[in-house]
Amino acid sequence: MNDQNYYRQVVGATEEFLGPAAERFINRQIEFHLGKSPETIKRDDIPRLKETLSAALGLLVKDKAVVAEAMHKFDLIVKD
Amino acid sequence: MKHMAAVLTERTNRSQKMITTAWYVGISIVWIGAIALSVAANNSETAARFKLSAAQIRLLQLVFALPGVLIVLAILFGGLSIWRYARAIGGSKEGRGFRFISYGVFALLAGLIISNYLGGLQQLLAQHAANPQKVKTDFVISSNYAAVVVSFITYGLLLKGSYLLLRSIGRQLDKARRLAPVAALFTLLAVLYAWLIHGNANSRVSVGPGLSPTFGLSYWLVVSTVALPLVASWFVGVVALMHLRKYYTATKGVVYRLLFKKFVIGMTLFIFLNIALQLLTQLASFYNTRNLSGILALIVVIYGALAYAFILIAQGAQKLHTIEDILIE
Repeated sequence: MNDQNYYRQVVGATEEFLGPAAERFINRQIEFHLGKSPETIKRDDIPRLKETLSAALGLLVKDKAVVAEAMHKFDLIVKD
Repeated sequence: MKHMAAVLTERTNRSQKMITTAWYVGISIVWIGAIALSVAANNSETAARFKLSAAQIRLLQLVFALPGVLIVLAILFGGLSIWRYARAIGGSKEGRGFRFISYGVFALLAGLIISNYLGGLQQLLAQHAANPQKVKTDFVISSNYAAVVVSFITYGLLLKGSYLLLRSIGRQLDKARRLAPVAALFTLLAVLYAWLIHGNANSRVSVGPGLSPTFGLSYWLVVSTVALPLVASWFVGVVALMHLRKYYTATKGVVYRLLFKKFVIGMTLFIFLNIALQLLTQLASFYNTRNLSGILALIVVIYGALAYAFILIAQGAQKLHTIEDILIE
């Protein structure tokens, strides 16, 4: 899978939770934590993005099942 | 891996906070100016109508002034919260939609202030005029047309904003199927409104000393240039709400929708309460010569609920803003 596809998959998975705000959120986290342009992320970067989304969702909603579901989506991207 | 914590970045800097404070103070001063105009005017006719002394009328005006300021500030709070969120997501597809919605709220606020100034000015100028009744009628006509224009601008901006939001997710309203029943309902409302105007003895000319006519124009002129355009503007408001609710149900994101919920509830309350308020305000002036207290009490309750609606809108916008402020450390 190429890097562009990883980026699209990460945004797609985040969209299921953050809707229209997903791409902005992921772009900010990639630039801040990974210091690279969003579309250049690799498979190894996904666990770090998974952690950032987990922390963010934990702040936004109390429902732990939502956070767990989001983490599962990211795990599936890494496994693919 | 190091444990990560989500923190919120500082949303506004010092100069932005000063600008926001200036807005709140400025609007409060402008609103108090409108109240001062009403208090300064000679209220003897109103006092006689309600069997109160002029001092008691002034006291009542002052008692209602504080909740009035709070309502105006709640509307400003709602408008500024949406505007700030729109600015935070500036370049995005939905950013323009939220921006137009905030403009709609600001238009409503401006309309409320203008109508209060017109009311105060009417009383003040009429007491110094050679023909007070003519001054009052002229102001009534101007106020009614201003209300129609403000209503169209407010709901038109909300419609534009909600349409842009829906378009940002590649969807649109199924117009023919969805709008037909609403259009039929508003046609009925227009007929009912025209019938009420027809039965209003105070419509064209005042029926009692010191009273202002409700419209000061002939029946057909009122129906065609005030009543029908006003009902049409309400229809535009409800269509805007339909767009917004469709955006809420069709947009992706479990958490986004959860945060957006308060905004939609607030907007629903705002549009329906504002329509009810406009209708009741007209009805209140129909019954100038009868016991007004019931309708006036209902208007006060609706104003309170309207303030609550804007607090919900502001909370909704601020919750959405939170997504943009999260920084993971």
